[in-house]
Amino acid sequence: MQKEEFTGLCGEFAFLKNHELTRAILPIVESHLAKHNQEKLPVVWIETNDSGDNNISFMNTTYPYLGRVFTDMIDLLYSNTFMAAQGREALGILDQVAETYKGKFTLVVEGAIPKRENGLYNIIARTENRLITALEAVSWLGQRAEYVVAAGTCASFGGPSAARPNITGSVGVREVLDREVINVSGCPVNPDWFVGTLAHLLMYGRPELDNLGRPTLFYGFTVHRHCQRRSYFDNNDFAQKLGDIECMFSLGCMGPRTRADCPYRQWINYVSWPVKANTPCIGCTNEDFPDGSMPFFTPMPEKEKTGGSGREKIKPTEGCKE
Amino acid sequence: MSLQRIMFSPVTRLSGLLSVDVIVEQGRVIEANAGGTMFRGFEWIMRDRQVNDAVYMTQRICGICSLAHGAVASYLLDELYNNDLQENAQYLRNIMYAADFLQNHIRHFYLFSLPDFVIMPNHPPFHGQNLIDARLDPKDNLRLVNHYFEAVKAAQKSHEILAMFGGKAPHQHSFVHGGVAVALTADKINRALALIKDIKKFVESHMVPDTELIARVYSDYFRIGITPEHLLSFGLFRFGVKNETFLWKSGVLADGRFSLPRLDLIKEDVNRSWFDESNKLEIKPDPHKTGAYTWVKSVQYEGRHYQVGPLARMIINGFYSGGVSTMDRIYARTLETLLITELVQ
Ligand code: SF4
Repeated sequence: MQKEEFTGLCGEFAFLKNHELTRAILPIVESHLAKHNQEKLPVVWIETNDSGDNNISFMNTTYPYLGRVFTDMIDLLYSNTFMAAQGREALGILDQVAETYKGKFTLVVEGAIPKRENGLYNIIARTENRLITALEAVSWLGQRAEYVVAAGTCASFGGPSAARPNITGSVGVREVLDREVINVSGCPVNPDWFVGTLAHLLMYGRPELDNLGRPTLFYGFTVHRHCQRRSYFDNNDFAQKLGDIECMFSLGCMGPRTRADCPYRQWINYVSWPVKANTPCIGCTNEDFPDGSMPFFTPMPEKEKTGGSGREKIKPTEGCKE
Repeated sequence: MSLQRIMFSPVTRLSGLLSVDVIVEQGRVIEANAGGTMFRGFEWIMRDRQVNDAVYMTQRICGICSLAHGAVASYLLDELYNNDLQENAQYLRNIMYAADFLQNHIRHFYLFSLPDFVIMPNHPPFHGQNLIDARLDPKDNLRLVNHYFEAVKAAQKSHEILAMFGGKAPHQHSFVHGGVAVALTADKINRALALIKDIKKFVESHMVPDTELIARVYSDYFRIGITPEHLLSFGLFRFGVKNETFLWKSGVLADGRFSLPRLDLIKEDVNRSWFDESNKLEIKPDPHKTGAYTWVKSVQYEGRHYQVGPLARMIINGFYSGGVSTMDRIYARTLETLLITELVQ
């Protein structure tokens, strides 16, 4: 399959009946690998300042399930979450991989990088006489990797870990590396966006990126554009409370200025997404998430008046009545 | 006298970052400092924000137990707004809460614990496994490896139940103050039931026997990791118009005496944590503090440390009569998983 067909497949998912991207991808990857006799994608995964939600989200991948991602797509050479090795030997693997796969591995960073106090707010491992900060590890590995992928909004742009007052001085990976970072944002990242990006790297190399470094395959359109409730919006028919079936703009929906394909891709085996659950999109893929989306339940024009700071006393919206 | 220092770092297969600094004297551990080495400062991040934002924001504390944080925030907001909860909403909240527990427990046992007992296949991410005490015979070993990958699916199905009602997972959207934003309709009940049936089957036919096998082969683990018998639970699965009744009761069990937990007896101790206490009104992070080794605050009840989690809940509720060792903790978690699948059904 040619690259154009592949990007077409990812991009045109809005129009396919079966929205299961990863199910469509796996056979293509397999036949591609067989044809090109190619190795799997070598991946080093470093967890820094985040909630670990991105690795949990990765575990939720379906078609391929996690086991097949490991056996057929990637060689996950280092990962605090998944690796069987532990302690000093685990760290030894990291050193060895950085040498053996220099210039060939993909560095996945999950989490923001705290910069204040020389990065002491996040220590990925220790030895008897040394601390290895996330700042040091990501700077070192980032220079040696073929690609750098930021998984989730913390790694991409700072995200919740960098929310004000950000006393740790956390930033996205792009601010500590002097090179291109592929930002696969989301809080957490949708497994399809992440696994799809890895598949693209494996088969065709660097995907097309938007001005924030995100693969246009997944972040090409706003949530608002494909939202099932768009007709309510166009008719000024707005929800009064969480749980209503109308447009969620009145309850703070960030869909109009959030790029992601949630309305048709959906989550966890493609069963739902926040607006389908009768709640607003909170713009979790955005560069200014979460501060720019808060207060979450206040309509966008009013949030923007407060600079999204959420400091102003705003009448609490009513809770859900169901 | 020879003191030996062992730095066990990184402790892999967990949510977050952990290093354990152990001092050994003549084969005996005399000190073990478990250090949580990441700090984001949620106590500061949560300030000066609209109170309703707490449900979504606190969930970002942890990816594997995300909903638990949102649930507590929802209960507090219910209290603040004096909400009346409908019975259906409470049922649905508890189904969602249970589904999040199931993925958590299944992943904890299979993805995080199992490679401490089972020889995993020698390919990434399991290469270089430094398991020094493998005891299972090859047939059992292979079966448990296969169950690892089946557990991946069972956990994914648990999150599917949560996402059906919550919009997504982790960090669901609809379990909020006032109730749940999604109605419990027949189609969703039907789908959730089909999923829970699969999960329950997995727990009964795999997780329980696998735990029993490991408990048998590593029976000496019932004699290690024994903590003082100080157990604490705040209860689980709330019902009632005001969240006032608990399906699983709360309690404090210390030295054989039972009492109800009192919030005023809880104290945070940051003596060995990286926080500067010189300002009595507010502690400040200080990564250079001497003698400190962790960002985690030590929480004490009546000046003592208590064990919480599945084992504490199970013993306090009379569902488990074993001890308080390492293997008891693993065992109680599996039994709690089974109980939860039965409850949901
Ligand atoms: S719910 Fe949000 S994304 Fe959907 S139409 Fe309304 S404003 Fe747009």
